[in-house]
Amino acid sequence: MQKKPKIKYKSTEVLTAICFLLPAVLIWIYWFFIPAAKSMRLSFYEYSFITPERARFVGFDNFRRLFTDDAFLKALQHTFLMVAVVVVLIAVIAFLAAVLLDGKIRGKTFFRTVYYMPYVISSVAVSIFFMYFFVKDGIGTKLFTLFGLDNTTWFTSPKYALSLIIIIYVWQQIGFYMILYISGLQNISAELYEAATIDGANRAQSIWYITLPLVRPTTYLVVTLGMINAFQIFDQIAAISKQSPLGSPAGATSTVVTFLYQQSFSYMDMGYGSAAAMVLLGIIFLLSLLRTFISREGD
Amino acid sequence: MKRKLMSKITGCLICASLLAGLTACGSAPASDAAPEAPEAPGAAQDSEAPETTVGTDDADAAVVEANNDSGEGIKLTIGVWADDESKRLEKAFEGIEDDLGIQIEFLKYPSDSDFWDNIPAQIAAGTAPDIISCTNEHYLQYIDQGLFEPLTEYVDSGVINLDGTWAKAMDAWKIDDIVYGIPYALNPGVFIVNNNMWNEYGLGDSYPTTWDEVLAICKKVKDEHDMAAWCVNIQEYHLTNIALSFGGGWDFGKKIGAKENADALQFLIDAYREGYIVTPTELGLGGDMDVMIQESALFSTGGAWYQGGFAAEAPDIELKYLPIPKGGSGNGGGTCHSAALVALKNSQHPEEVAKAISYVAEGSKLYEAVVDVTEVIPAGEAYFDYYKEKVPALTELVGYLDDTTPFSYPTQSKKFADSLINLMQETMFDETSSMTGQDIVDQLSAEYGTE
Repeated sequence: MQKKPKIKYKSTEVLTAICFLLPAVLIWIYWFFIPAAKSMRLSFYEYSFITPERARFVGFDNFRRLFTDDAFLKALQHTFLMVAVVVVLIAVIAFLAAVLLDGKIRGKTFFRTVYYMPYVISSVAVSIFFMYFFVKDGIGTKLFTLFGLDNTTWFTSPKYALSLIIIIYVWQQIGFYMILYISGLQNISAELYEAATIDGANRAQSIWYITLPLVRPTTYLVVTLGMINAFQIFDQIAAISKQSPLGSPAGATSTVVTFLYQQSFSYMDMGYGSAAAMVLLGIIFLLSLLRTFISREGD
Repeated sequence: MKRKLMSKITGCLICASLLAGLTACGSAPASDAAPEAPEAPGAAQDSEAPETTVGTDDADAAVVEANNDSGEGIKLTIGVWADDESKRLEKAFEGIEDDLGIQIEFLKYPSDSDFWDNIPAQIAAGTAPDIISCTNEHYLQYIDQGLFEPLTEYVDSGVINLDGTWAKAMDAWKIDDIVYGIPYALNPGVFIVNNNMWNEYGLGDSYPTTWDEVLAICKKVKDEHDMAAWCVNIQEYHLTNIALSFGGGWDFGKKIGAKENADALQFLIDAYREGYIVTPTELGLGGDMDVMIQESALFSTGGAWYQGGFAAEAPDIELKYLPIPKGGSGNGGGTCHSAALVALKNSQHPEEVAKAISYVAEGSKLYEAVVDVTEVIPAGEAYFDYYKEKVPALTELVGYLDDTTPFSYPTQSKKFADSLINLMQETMFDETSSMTGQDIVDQLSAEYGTE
């Protein structure tokens, strides 16, 4: 195996690089690493931030409590379900939208802007907007009754509330992931498509045999980012839970993030909330490792 | 060469400015820093921080940012969540700067949940207000955590005078013989009827006094107008009012599993399944008052705050304020909010806090402001007549006070309230649920019961 040639940098270049990187690294250490380390430490304590003097080391008790707590297990289940559905929907819809808007169509820039716009709107505003569509007899609700769903207010229905969160989130995020796919598509040489057309491939075959394999790195990126972000959905849930406990109705939209927020800030059980945060960190870390492993195998 | 030099200079400048920014972020003294809300994960862009207003006109000139034993030039902050609440306190504290040299600044929180979510974090960060105005609804867990400063020594030494305070309000704020708050306003739970709709629907001259009578009216309205007449906001406040009217209540966790509570919740569940109840969330509305303003329901449980809300949003609608109807074998009577001034833990100026509270609690200023600005019953019994005179539309409310009972949630009140709401939502909103009122109270009792 051939060794990669070692690049030698001048000391001034190294210094410049350090100067540019240092602020970001310091901010990262101050705002992310130190709080994460503190949170990890707190997860082994019974701790309320109002009465830190009463803090008590409890070892793994918080973690043991978590895995026997029905509310946490329910939140974990909702989180996995939501991440699985959101990632698949985002990857598929964003890819299709990108393919459509990367072709020769009129008003391409306009449509790209329209698709991207929801991403920059406040998620609470978007959620409230959707809530009006999904009340009983609302436009959104009526549309779904055509597929046999109930005509009911989705955000008060334990059966439909999580689906509403997924719809709101996917609608808002599609634009961002579509842009990622468009940049990936633009790296594919047009000659490949021309050759495929000469060989008699139709549009669907070109997408399947050329586009999909060549945007695989983008797909990995979309899946990783989509997964990490989906694990942290909060705003939409907080918006539809207004004046009710976070994760309403009846805990149907509770996730690990809402669970840890409630425990830490509403119930002031910071140690327990930190333990939930550590579990979430572990899950995201393991899934990211798995994704890296799969992508290496694929390459 | 020039480009290299420029990039180095740019790099150094960015580095320096970011480091300066970082240093500034970390080194602001607690007393100068703006109050920070605990950041919700992923919700930074939408989080709502409290708004700061200074209660006196010549605020900026007079502030002396130092400990001052004489009490002169001290600035105290008061945390409130409702706009009208800050207005009445602003009025009550008028003149304090001239008289005592204490300047008052108000921190307004967008809602009660923002208030309770922010205050503990602010205490931990050293940026909490010196005084807060809050009610006796969710206070126990904060007292239990040592968040509220005991005021007993100031009461015992006569710095704060509580003579003439309505006894039940005083009891609510005296836990184990320690005074934690100075009550100044009372708000009994009532049954509110839209009188315009009542007359339009021809529902008669007498109003319901029992929940069974309420149900009979609901049935009539449902049959004749295809409408759910009763608005129930699935919140601990409304559920507690109904539980109390059935003779139940939580009694700090001792009575959660009582049959009366089970009967009250079952009554609600059955009425909802019959289509007699509408909830604000189903209509995409924030609260029960919004439903009533939209005339999407005929009646609801609530309080004197309806008067101000309707005056602003629907002045043409006439409201009737009735006692909470009686249910089962109960004697009716709901609960009563008692707003109080509370000194928070870790204030830099505890003596001045006591002086400021004493300043408004002494005499008539605070009670008159409560009546004049918010049309709420003052906690001083001697001012009940003043209230009746000034707010004739709500005179009956004073008569309802004697039948009220404190909220008496268990110590983990927020968690208890969330569990109660979740279980009720699950039972009411999930058509397949077979849970009963008894199942709900049994579950709650197992988790929060103290007997």
